[in-house]
Amino acid sequence: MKQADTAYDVETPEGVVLKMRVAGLPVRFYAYFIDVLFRWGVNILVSIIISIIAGDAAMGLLLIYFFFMEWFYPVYFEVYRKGQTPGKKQMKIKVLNGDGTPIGWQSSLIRNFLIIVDIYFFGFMSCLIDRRFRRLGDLAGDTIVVYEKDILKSKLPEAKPEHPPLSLTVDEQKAVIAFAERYKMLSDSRKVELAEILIGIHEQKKSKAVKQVIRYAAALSGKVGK
Amino acid sequence: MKQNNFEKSQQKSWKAIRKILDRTSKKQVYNEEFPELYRKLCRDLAVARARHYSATLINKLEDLVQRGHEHLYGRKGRQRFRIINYFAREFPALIRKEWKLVMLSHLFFYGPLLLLLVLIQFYPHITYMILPERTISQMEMMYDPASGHFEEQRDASQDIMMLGHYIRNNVGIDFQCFAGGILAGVGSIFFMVFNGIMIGSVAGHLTQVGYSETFWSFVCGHSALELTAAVFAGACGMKMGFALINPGQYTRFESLKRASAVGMKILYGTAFMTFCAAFVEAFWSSSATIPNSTKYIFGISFWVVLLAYFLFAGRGYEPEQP
Repeated sequence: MKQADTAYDVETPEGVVLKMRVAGLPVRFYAYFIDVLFRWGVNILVSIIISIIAGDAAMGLLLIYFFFMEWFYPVYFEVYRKGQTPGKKQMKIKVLNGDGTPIGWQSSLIRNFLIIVDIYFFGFMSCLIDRRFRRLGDLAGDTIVVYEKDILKSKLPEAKPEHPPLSLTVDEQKAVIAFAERYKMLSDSRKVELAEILIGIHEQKKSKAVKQVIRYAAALSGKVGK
Repeated sequence: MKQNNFEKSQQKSWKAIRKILDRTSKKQVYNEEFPELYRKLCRDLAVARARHYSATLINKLEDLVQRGHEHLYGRKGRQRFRIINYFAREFPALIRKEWKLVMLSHLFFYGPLLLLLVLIQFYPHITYMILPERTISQMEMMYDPASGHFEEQRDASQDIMMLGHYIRNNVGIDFQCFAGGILAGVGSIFFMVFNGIMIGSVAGHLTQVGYSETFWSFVCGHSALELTAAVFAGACGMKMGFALINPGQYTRFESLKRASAVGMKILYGTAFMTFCAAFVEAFWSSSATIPNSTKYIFGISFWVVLLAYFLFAGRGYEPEQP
């Protein structure tokens, strides 16, 4: 089960394990695409403004502006905006150091300079091969791209708590709770299929089984019945 | 202990921590109580997990720990960059420490450059095998002493345009030379050799057709800074690539990580050198009022000063290990 998961554990010096959800290729590509569009927009605006204000020197100033925009646009946002370029913010992902701390200048520069290599196919390959979806720039800079919030951690649905008739092991409890947290994302028949497995010997069928599992989850997660 | 009692008894310290985090989320402010509160929070999370308290509570604590972790350890990445120390000691010391790679990079660049420069004097047709005819005629036009545009001073707006062009182009090339190194060093070596061939054949050709005076007086001023910086950038890239090929006692990932950090440190100074070279190239090299002899003396002394800087500045300084 663990191998197929996108969770990435970071152990803090206090011995607590933090779970990160690493972002995959499509989300990161969308974020990059949004950034490209955003940059175009800003470039056009700035070009107009500079050519009006600066007159003769406009061309030179614009070239310097383009230089900084080309190389330092993502770096600025990653360092000063909590690891998020505008595109990443839209996609709700952010860049962190490999140990889960906010990214600094050096790592950000490394990963963003290397994008000119990654953009040619190498980044895609590296992203697909690496377990944490890191492109070459991420490997060299020791950074990861993660979701802002764990998307799979959602609130438990409201239900009347009911204790399971048998005492369950920790893993079984976790499975019941995980089902309740995620069942809204599943298709109806899949819901029933999984719920019937979880409910096992209790004979409940179809949508009743689903409801039953959710009640167990409510009880197991510590909700107290009124 | 029941979960409710646990929550009640710890509520106060969690609130205190949330308050600190909310207040300091914008600015990073040091708070004396924070480390202790944070460690307590970590303990609480561990206890909650061990006792299988509810997922909601654990999620809440995890979010707090995550934010606290970023707050407490995030500073590490924001070390102040000590500019004076860097240029007075660290940068030259780093170059000396990586002298083997720096030498190798010089070899890849100056090898083809000098070879072509000399060969073209005897076999002028080689230029035509390397450069397209259009480029050659453009170059000839630019440096033709008879064309007269070397006598007249160009206006300031053109100087600034060229400055912008040199910054964008030349510093960009440095960054490319570095980035290309990630492909096992191949990219950096390619750029070194490629630039060596290009510059060598242009310089060789213009010398051979007798435009030495205009060409060499133009390039000598900024050559020391610009060429040396490009070669250093190549060395940074190779550092990264070779760390992948030969990781030594580290894992490949760890070795790459360390090498990139060193490479990036060298690249700071390198980019700055190219940046300065752009100013020299735009305002000094192109100036028509400065006599050529002054330009030659200036150019040569630049080489001497630069060599002395990298040989002697910051001797005995041990650069930090990344």
